[in-house]
Amino acid sequence: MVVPAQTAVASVVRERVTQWLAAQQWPENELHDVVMAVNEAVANAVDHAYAGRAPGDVSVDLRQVVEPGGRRAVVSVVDEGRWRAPRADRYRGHGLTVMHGVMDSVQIAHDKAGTRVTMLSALVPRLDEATVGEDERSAGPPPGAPGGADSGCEPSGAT
Amino acid sequence: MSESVDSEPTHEQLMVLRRRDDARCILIDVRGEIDAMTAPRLRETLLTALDEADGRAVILDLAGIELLASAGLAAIVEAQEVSESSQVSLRVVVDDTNAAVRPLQVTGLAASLRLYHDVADALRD
Repeated sequence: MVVPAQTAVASVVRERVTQWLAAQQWPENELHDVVMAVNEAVANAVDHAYAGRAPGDVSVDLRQVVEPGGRRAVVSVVDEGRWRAPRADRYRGHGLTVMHGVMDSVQIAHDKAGTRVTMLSALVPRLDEATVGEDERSAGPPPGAPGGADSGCEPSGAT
Repeated sequence: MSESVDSEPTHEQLMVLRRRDDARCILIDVRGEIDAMTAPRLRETLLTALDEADGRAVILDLAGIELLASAGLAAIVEAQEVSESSQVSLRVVVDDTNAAVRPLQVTGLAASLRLYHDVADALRD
């Protein structure tokens, strides 16, 4: 999903991520961890990437990967703004600490084009194979949801 | 207890704040989501309560929240620092499963706050 980099959209992103993970039957505590991390990454993009400029967009992509030992959510949060190093204040320090604390890995890449935060969630149990399939793949929309089966990485089948 | 309803209903769907005063404490009950949008309102309410405590404890009840983001953590840390310098007792209510515990633990802030399991527990102290 692509949303404008504005503070108010974070709650919309959280709702969509929650719906998508719930449709994949993500365990409750781990679901909340992913939502927290995505929220911080989006807040980071809103606060810093576009500070002093016209707001651009933030793109949030969410998919799951299936491994032999379980499943993970892979989230990327991409903005087109200019990366600014986290200020040495309590606010941003907590945001990065939360992201690192609730996800298995957090990578932040930035260049002239923008900033990409890629996060890998903790491993959660697989669903039965009839539901999930064996190979790594992007999850589609929740069962029975409108929007077709080929919406790729978008939460809730967004386009 | 008398009850004063929050004066800024704009984002009430996201976060509801209620402040109740009595002779022993000021209780701030938070429901919903504390994020970058709503945290400034929590900060303002906390700092006002600390300023008006006048010997009473200030109890922040987070047992009903669904999200505590870094902006909310910053507001709580600031309130904690103000409470120490002004010698007001700030007590934070969480429960074992709620959305507050996780961010407080992963940031290490749980160790520096006075945490309680319920309001009655916080009042007994």
